[in-house]
Amino acid sequence: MNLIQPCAQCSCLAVCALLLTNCAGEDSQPPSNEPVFRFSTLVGETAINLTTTSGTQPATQILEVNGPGLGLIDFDNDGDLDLFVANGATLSDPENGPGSRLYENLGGLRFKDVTGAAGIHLTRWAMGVAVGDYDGDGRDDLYVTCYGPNVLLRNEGEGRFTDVTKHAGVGDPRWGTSCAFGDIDNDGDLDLYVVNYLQFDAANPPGRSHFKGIEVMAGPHGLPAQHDILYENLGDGTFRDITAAANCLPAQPGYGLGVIIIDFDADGRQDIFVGNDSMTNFLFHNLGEKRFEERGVLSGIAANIDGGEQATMGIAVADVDANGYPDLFTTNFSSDTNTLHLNLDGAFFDDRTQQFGLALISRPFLGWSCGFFDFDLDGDEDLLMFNSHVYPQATMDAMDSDYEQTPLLFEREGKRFARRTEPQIGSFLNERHRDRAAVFGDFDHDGDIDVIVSELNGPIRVLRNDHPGGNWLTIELRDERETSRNHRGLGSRIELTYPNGGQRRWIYTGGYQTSIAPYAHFGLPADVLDVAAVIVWPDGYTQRIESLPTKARHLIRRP
Amino acid sequence: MVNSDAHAARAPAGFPPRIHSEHRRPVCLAIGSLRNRVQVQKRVILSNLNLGTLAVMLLLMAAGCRDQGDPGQGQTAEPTGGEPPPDSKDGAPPDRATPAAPGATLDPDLAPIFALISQNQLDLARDQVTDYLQQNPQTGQAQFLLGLTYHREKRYALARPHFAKATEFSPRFHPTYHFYGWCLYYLGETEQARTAFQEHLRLAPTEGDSHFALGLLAMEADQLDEAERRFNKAIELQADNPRRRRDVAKAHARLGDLYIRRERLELAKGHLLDATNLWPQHYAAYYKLHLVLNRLGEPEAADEAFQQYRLWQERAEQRRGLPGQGR
Repeated sequence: MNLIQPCAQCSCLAVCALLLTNCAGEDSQPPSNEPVFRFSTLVGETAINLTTTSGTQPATQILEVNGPGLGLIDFDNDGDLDLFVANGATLSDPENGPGSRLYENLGGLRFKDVTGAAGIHLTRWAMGVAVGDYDGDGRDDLYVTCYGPNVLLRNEGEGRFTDVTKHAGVGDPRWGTSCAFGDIDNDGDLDLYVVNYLQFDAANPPGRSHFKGIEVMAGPHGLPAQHDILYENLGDGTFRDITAAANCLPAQPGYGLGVIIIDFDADGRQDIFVGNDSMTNFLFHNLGEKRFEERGVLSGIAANIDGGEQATMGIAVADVDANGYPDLFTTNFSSDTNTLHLNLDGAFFDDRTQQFGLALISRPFLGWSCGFFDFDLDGDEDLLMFNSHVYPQATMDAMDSDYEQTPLLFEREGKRFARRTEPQIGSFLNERHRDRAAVFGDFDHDGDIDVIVSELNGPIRVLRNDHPGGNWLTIELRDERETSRNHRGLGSRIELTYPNGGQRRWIYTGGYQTSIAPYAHFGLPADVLDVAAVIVWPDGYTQRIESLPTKARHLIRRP
Repeated sequence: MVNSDAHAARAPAGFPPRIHSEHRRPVCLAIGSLRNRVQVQKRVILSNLNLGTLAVMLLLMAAGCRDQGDPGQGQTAEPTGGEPPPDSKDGAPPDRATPAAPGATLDPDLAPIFALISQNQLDLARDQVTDYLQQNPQTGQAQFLLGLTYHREKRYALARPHFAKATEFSPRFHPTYHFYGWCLYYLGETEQARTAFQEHLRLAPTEGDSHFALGLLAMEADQLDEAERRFNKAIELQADNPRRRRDVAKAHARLGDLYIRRERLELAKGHLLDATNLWPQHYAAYYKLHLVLNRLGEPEAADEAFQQYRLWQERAEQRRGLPGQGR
């Protein structure tokens, strides 16, 4: 699996591989390649003490079902990932909820609420989060989508943020869901794509609808969809709307819920995938010169194997078939299947959900955030997704799907994925919740991937991965050239090779109302002591590192 | 802004150029040649089709009760691409109802209830069969009909226990296994679904749609040789039956999927053309065909297929009637 073909075009500039740590009691336990999945749940004062707000429970309107967004941000540049929670409000007062929160990672999976100290006062009903250093000052900033004007929070340093939305010109007042930063014009700074959902008036909410004969909340059909926005970063702290000029205005707007920015075809230009609810998805292929072509249907990625329009929420990326191109997994509605689109050649996608054993098993589930990660550190990427129905009326009898649902954990087994449900994986993964957004990362720096997951009108939980031992490596990028403001190399591709193997990752942005970790994590065979790495930066510049020791976090700087 | 060597280091672009028109093969020509092939198939196969054992199935199908036989397409479009809804005038003609066959004879007392189901009067049928079951709680066929009322509404979790009871009380009434199989299939219970379809074929070996279902389950298990065998068997058993054109078309469309997975695009194209030829409303087949034709460098034919996909998909949506405000 995951053999990487040599890149003949690589330049061989091995530079500055900074070994950050060699940590986590590496020798305290023997290396293990056993497929061990073991998660402990941390909640409340031991980790993150927050009950999220998203309207009332049970939900009565479509505005109440998306739940909070989560963004990973190293706002204090101390080398670990902190957490921003885009929290909601209520229908009766969508401008004045309990407020979004910023949590500092104190280490050991303990988080401290520093919202007040950071000067963040965002009580509007917030949804999605994008993290990126839009002004190139070396500090990651926050963009938050809302029901109401979106907000750009500039990181001033010293742990303080300032609302610069008005100056930057990014305060779109429509209902935004997901958003992502990315350098779509290869000019070195981070542009911004904002996904909008639909028109909804909280003061005059729509009537009721029916699903499988049961009266439920209205939408999305029947409510006007909203166009998304592509903002160009002008480099002076402001943005301009280039959606129409860039040809990112489809004839029919989408009920957008998710987005990722990634270079699907390895042409050195970042493309944009938008997951829409109950309609075809969009793939904006980047033609260069700030022009895009919407190729969703043409490429085969817009719909499932039968041309069926799906309700796409979560989005995850991995090179599942090891052909060098990023494949796309999306979570969808119940009585439908999740979908794995293999990227055949950069131009065409094919729905191979069945082939990998991920189709029928997902029919009773309605999925949200998902991620491909090597949770068991055996050298291939597993798949974890979080589920819950949108309709509180959902029961198996009523809708063939329950309201509260278990997550789905799949282990990669050879050419297929196999669901893991044994008690040892941890009680959380076998219990039902109203899970929504989730982010993944090695938050405690012990080498394995932990998870933070939000529950609709419920707690934020930290799932500590208790994998014993194992071999691993993470790579974080830095581009500190004067000409670049994309200092984390968002949009890069990283390829590892080692005897008898290789793996590939992308530093992409976006997801379902999330901003994910800006680094690549690799689980590795136990006998691999060091690896070679190739970094393909977003503009196509290629950098080769001859040797990186395993069991370490590496920071690689662009020359 | 970027380093001078950056562009040279780029990987090759993945999006291919458009193919010139002289390289295209018109879809209509392909359809013509494939039509002949289908006719030959029809003359050769199905000599031993035991229509008697299918009688109840046909009866059910005439009422549009049988399963659509394909995976769902999202919560708003569960029937397969282009499949008319059960009560559609595009469905089977009313004279298809035939007497029940040995081993699958419907109790005459239950015939009026079945007639209600056929007329899509599901609540009334449910009331009547529930009353009947209160008097005769261990009547397998009544349990079957009660399950069928839920099955038609795609409420598979509700249908499931009634089909299970039906197999318990009337183990030789073979239609139950077929519907039970689809019910389990749509609930994601693949192994139990496989068992049900296999049992159906044990009792009614010539029922092509259960072969088709087992083909789908083999696709799900990545057992392509088995899937290919099952789909071909489904075609073989049904190709001579004009009432089964849609089923034959669906099997061809799934063979198209299978050959796409094997990267044998010309073969896939042939089967997808067969599918659209046999059943022109099969929008899913047009969708697959448009992707295959694009990959084969036939963009004009692909565009044509795509237009057909859109046309028939929209008509299917109109027939189904999208909710005013919902999913």
